[in-house]
Amino acid sequence: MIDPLPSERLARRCNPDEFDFETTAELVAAEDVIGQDRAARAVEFGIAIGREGYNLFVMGPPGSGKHTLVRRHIDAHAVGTQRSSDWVYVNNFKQPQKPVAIGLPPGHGEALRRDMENLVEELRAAIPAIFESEEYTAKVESIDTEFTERHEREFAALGEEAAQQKIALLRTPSGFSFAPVKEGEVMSPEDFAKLPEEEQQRIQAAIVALQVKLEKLVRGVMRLRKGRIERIRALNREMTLLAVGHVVDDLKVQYQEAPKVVEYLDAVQHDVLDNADDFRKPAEAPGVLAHLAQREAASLRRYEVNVLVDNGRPDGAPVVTEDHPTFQNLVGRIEHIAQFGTLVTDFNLIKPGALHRANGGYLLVDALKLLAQPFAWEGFKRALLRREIRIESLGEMYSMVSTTSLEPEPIPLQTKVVLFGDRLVYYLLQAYDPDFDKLFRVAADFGDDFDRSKEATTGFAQMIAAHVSRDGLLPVDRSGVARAVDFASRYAGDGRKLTAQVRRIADLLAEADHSARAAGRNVISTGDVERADAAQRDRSDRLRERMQEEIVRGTILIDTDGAKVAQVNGLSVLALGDYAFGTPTRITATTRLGDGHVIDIQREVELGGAIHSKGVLILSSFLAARFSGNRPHSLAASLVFEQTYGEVEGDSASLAELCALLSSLSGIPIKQSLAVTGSVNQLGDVQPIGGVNEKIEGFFEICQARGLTGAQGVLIPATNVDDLMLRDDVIAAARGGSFQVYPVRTVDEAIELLTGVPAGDAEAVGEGPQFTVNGRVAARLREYSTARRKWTRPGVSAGHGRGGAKASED
Amino acid sequence: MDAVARRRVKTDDQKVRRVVAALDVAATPAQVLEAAVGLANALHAELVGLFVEDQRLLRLAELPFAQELSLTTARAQRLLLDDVERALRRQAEQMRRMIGEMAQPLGLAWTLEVVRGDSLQSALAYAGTDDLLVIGRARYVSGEFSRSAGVAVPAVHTRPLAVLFEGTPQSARALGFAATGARRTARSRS
Repeated sequence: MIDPLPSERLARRCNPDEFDFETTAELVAAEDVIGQDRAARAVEFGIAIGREGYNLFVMGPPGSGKHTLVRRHIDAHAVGTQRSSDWVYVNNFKQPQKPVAIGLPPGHGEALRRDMENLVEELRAAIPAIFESEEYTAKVESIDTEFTERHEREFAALGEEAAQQKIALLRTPSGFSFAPVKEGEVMSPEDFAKLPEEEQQRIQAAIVALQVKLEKLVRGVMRLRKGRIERIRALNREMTLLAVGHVVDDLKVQYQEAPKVVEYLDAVQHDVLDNADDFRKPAEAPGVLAHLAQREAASLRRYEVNVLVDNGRPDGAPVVTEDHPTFQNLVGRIEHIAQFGTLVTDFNLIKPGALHRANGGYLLVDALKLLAQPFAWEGFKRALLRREIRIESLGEMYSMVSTTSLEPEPIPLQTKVVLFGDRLVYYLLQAYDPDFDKLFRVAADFGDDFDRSKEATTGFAQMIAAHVSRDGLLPVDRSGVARAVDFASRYAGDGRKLTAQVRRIADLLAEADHSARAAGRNVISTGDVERADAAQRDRSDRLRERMQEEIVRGTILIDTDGAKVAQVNGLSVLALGDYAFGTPTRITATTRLGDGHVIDIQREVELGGAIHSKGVLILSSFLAARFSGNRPHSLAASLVFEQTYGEVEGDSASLAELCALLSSLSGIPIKQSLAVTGSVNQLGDVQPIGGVNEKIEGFFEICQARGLTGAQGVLIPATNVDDLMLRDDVIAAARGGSFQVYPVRTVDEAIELLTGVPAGDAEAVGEGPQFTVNGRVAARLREYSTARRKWTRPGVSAGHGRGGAKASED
Repeated sequence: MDAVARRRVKTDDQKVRRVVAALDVAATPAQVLEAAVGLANALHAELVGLFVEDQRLLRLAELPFAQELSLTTARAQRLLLDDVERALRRQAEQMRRMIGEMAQPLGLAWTLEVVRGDSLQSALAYAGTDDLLVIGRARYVSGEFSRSAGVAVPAVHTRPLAVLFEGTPQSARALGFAATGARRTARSRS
């Protein structure tokens, strides 16, 4: 018989004496992320390598310090690197719908914006002054006079010529006309009618001839008027150039290192010469003319500079975390403003995205958030693959709005992207997205736990010191640190490991701090940490309490004493978020003559998972192999988890199921004071399972509620012993001999403990000294086999159940 | 300013009661009115717009072969009496609006009279002895052309202000008023 585990094996307690400090106040707060050496190496490599496609995907459980570690490495790396360029958008005077992007040394974007603002202010003063100058008005007057005099002369001459023929040249409301004159007055129709026919014809012919000349003259006026406009326009350009030329030239010298700025300034000068009128101050007219002033201001907007990225202030490369990675927040957007009922836009309304801000630096994004945003992942990849940021309007792409929009010149992109996410997301992307491999070549895999060595516990204490200092907590004394180490092992579900979910430890400490402060202490000690853990469990404990109540009341049938054939206490774990608890489940088996099938009722009703079914098939094979090696395996059996109404998954009950079957076949009762967990292989070896601590505590709680008898305990796989991190009350019960934990290696060890009968040899049959479990099972199976041979004679068919009934009658 | 200011007064010290701005189809109303409004304001006189419908034009329109050559299109078209009368009415209405817009802000009392006859003769006949008459000089091709070139240059102070000086004391007074008016407009521009 296997001996129960000594109480000191039930948990690996951290001894406070291991530490050479009294409280964490004496410690140097070092790393607040520990045990992630592999991930740290990957992060360091991913950040240092400057090649294309070497972006990082950082994966691992939440709260394992992924962001902290990455941010620390980036910050260390970014300080030494050169600041990245400023980027501005300016108007494209030839094609206003295609704004021009200009990259400038850090800080120069804002300087260019100010310079252009000053330029416009200067021109708004200088240009009107020039047009009001004596010189300008004199030149205009000279052109006007030249024009007017010439035409006055020609009209006067025509008028003279007409007068000689007794015809007057008259102004009409919209032009000129010729009228016959008599004694200085225009002839009336009556007088004209009185004229001889020849005279009438002469006058009319003369008027027609004069009209031809007049027409020629007027056409000449029109032609020369156009020429005059050209001359005035040329004069205007010449005068404007006086105001603009030297200012723009000064700026060109200032920006000679940036050829694109010089090119832009040339375009500005050209545009100002063509549109000098825009710079004339509007009359100070309130009310109706206010909108004109607004239009004037709007027209000067085209000389503004839209500073998209200003790297003037920060030192080193930019580090940007995008918490809301929508398509527009990543690649930027073009806004519109409503004007007289329509939506309009210009280059000033281009807004930067996270990629713009992170250009030349680092961009940190959560992968799941990115994937959850419509169009964001595709747009993000497009930018990384093209290595340029092209702002595209979603509305236009999908024809949701119909309005003119811009096509800003793309900006070259060079940024290191760090995506954070679960391992599942990483592997799914790798499997289904062909671009993913090209873009994210470095994976940093954060572990769930790390080895609990002496160095690790020391590091753990320093990490606690770091959290204490960062979060402003009370110092933790060494007993408190030791207890936190215990919980870290418990959270890891392994006595040899510590959890890497530092956030969970940080939360525990924050709550322990609350407890210590409430009690008026200035140090967090072991009691505070324990209270914090108990409070955490208590908050999530409603369901566990309810289930325990049902069991204690007898609604859920679980025996904790006595012995029964074919009935065993299995153990299962229910996980609710980050809280898990164990509870016993009654497993029963029925056996009869059959053709070798074990019916897993859970699977039949589709309430059993694949791994559970696998466990059942394995134990069937074990039975067949051990007991029916050379004869037909003539067993039909059914297994069920009683009173379960949801899906059962996992193979951790296969040992219990096998024991129930062996009990059913041998007819030897199983002690109900024990519960079993463990999976078996085809050779009958017991294999480790998960959640061992929760399972033991789950059964302990039921027994404790009913009163510990001293015979109660749990059978666990021997390979799980190192995982044990049991609660103090369980350990105390074990120490007092009222509750035991038995490590088993084989199914035989388990059945011996459960029945109190030796497992024995499968071939040894009989009562008395040969009375063994295996012997009884083998004998029963031989009976089945013999019976089956009778039933399978020609003409007789054997079936489940019915065949068994017949066999027992024989 | 292409305007002629003439004062018909009995005695030197008599106050100017009205400033009469004589306008016809050929005049440039803005310039004449600007001068007249300035003078009326300076002299605290009433402003009268006198629009003369040219008798000759109406008579011409009655002739069966009368044609008009448009200055904008250089095309000839039949000149009809109805069209001429309508155009004159429209011009008179335009004058009324302009005077109103210019006089109202200054609080000037103003009226518009429409008479039919010869432009200059009618104006001279209308004006009384204590009136100051402002007349626009007819031009064949007028207008502020520089406007069409994109830059508007106010022409008021760049054009000569003409005064009909007959050697009489009245015309000497008119000359004085004109000089004041010219200085005032020049100051308001600077």
